[in-house]
Amino acid sequence: MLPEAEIAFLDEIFLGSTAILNTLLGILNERIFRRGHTRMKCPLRVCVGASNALPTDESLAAFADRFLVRLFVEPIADPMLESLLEGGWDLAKKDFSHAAKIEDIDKLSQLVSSVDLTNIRPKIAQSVRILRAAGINISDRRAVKMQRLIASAAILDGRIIAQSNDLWTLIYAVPTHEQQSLARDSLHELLAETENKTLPFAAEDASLGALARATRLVNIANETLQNRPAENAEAWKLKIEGLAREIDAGFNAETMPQELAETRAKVVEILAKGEATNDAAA
Amino acid sequence: MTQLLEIKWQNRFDSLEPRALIVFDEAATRLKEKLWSFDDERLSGLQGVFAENLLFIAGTSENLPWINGGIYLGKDENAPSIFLPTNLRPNLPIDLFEKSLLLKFTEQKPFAVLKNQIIPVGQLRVISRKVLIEFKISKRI
Repeated sequence: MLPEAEIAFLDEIFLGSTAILNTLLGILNERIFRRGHTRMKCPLRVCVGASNALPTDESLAAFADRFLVRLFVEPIADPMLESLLEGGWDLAKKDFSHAAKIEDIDKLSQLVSSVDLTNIRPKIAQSVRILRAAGINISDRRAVKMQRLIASAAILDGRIIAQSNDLWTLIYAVPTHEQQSLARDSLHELLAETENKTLPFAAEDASLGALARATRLVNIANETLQNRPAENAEAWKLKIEGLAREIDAGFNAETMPQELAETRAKVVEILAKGEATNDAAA
Repeated sequence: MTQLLEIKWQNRFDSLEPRALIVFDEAATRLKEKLWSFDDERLSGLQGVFAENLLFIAGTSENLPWINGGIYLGKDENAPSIFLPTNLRPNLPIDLFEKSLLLKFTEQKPFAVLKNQIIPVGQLRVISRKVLIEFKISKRI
């Protein structure tokens, strides 16, 4: 199956035998499947591996290094459980008719190769130097491949010229969870301008940047405001109030990005109506 | 000679989790009215202190109310005795900042540190309807 796959998800990837991992390495590195005298070109575009832990064994670590992007998945925090349950329940009802096709991925991939990295390259080099100085091992291979991540971020933000907004992807190329935290701290000044229209959550998670956080809040607020239920709006109002709390806790009025300030004004207007209702009831 | 050091505030890179809310004047009056609309279960999860023109409410992030004009406060792990604005930090090492405040205000901790004032918030009471009646927000507002 894997030799024919265009997108693959491999669970418990590091538990495979040496023979399996060697075969996988061939597929990942060269997109070629080898078994005995059989050689087959693989159409693999995306390979996601999952594991409960990263390998410490040196030979496995070299294999793991082939996976450029590292996402460390934590359990959902208790305050977010309602959203988790709601999202999980709604998943089956989602309309996936606009799902991307493999041709779309190919097109994006081709565009990535055409991205102009000239202006951002000195900052990429500076970032790698900062990370290495902080004790984070960024192999030369990884440093080179990081450029493709940055170019991808630019394309997904609607540009063919990479800029500082796109540096956040570097965080996901840092190998371990602890080192990613250290990288966020070490690069925080360089990541201050982080923003991505298509991947606001990922950009915010990587950079902890204010602009990315603002973009995410604007997106959530717009979606929530557009989906006001006709009846039993109490839960909806609590959600709106939670958004207002997150906006006010995260931003000063003086430094709040304009788009977020406009969104906040809409949220406040709705909540003010609720307060007026409470006053009348009291 | 004692030298005074000017404290400047800067935006936080990553905001603190809200653990309290402080409101003044007219917003305090509105918050008091809002608290009346909460059911007993939600109220019992909140603690507060009040003065003539301010209301300080502490609780978990998801339980804290929202009111226009309110300032959310949180605790930095390096300065656990003081409440700070969630989105600001002083331009000094935060642990030294806390220590210097504790030296000066030994009897009054914990306290909320705002841009231009320090407010002792040590007498927190669980908020009930009885306590709400005692909240006498100034009629001058």
